[in-house]
Amino acid sequence: MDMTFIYQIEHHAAFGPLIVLYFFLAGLSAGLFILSTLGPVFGIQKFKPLAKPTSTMALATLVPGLLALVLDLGQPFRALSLFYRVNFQSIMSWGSFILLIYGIASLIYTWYLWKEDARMKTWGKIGVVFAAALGLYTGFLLAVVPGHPLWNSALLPLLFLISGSVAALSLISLTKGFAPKAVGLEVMGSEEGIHTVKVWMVVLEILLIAFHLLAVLTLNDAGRAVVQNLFSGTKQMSFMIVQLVIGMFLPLILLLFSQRSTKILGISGLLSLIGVFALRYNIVFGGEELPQAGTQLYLFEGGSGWWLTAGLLVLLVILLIGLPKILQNMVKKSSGIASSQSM
Amino acid sequence: MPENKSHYGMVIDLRLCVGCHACTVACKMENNLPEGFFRSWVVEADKGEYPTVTRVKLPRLCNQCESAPCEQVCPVKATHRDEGGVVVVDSKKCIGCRYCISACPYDARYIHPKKGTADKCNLCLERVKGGLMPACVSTCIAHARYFGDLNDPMSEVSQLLSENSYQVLRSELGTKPSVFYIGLDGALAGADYANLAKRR
Repeated sequence: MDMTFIYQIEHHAAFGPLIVLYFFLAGLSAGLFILSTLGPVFGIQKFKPLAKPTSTMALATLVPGLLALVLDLGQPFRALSLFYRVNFQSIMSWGSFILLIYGIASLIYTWYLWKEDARMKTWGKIGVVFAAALGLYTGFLLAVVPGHPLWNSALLPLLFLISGSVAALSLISLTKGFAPKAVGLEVMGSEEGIHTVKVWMVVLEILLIAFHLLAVLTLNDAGRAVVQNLFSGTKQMSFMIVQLVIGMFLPLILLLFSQRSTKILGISGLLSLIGVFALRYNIVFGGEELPQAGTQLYLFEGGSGWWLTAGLLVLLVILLIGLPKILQNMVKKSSGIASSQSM
Repeated sequence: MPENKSHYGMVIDLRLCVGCHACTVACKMENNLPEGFFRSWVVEADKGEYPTVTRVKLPRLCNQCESAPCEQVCPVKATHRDEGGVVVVDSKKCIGCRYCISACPYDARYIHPKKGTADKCNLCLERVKGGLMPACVSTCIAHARYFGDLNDPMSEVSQLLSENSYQVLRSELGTKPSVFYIGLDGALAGADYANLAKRR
């Protein structure tokens, strides 16, 4: 029957660009940390040269990620209350403790790793558990919301973990291709392994997205509408062009056919990073855009949020370049103090 | 909910609602709400084609779910239960993370632009504690809104629910709302995905 809405109100979407950035950086950091531990903690020789640079990259991505999370709060100065007013039913409560323990573990692991202290193995093992939990929980955060069909799926945590790993591998390709010295990736020797893993990860990512969307499509009217919105609605450009074509299929083709040039692999890495960011954007924005009632799409107030996102990405680049140098100096100083004390 | 405790709820008889929006205005004045944000509002639509056309109305507010997704996801327990099982937000504890807003399947919550904390209908609990009715109920010119204790079989709301067939919004989600509608038109109960508005 024909319906003409005479009066309805526009509602404001809950999550904005800073949450997209946080999900992106948290997954990236988790992926980088896991990669870093493969060599020194789990004994895969091929990945040993990656350990130190990726450990600092994991920290460098975590800092702007945490800032994005806190800046997004309506009451940022109350952020610490997350640790003393705990609701164990809330995934966000779990997430704040996962973040806390992961942050501490990755800090200590990185320090011992750069000092070449054997204690890094213990902290690496603790960190890797919480890194995986971090990658998964960002997906769980959305998966437990029953009102939004695009979020309400057990595949989402896995998709976020896998795409976070793709982002981590892509950041390595990108920095190796364009600024190897700046991040300490001159000697690597594990390119082949990285690219093989990345190809499989991207394939898995594409399959997970396909399975997820197929299930959502057949769920109900809301599910069909949200998938249609991705393919032919307001999210067509960001989903079809940016996420799928530029961010997934193009880098996959580059990876399969141009493995010899580090520059092309660097470009493939950059495109994959854009793709993973677009994936987070489309899931978060696309998932909450459709109304629960009536015909009005949700309002997004992203103006200042997008500027802050850009600022935090600049901070990320500064940290990626600066952190290895700072850490190197600190390690030198601390070993200098240690040797002078022993004399 | 235990029988010996009160369980506040609302019944809205849509057969009587005239769509005057007095409830929306009374709510805004009583709770001093910021411009562009509502705790209570009325959706109106025309159904059908001339000459067989009907105006359908749906007053909306927080559904005071017994199994409330907002209460479950709040990481700092700022969303909690007060007297009569009413779901309220403690604005002194809320960190403004917006998780409850995304979890609410009834669009009932928003971030207060000045306070930076989540806000929604609390059934005018301060008025209720003082022996008054919620502002929207007091002001309703058509006597379409009723408030009371759902656990008290003699209350007006319980009597209405026992005498009439009633509906709740989005029952498929299992949230067990405490806001009941008599004469709800199914066309207004969910979104109209075929006619989504274009993004400005």
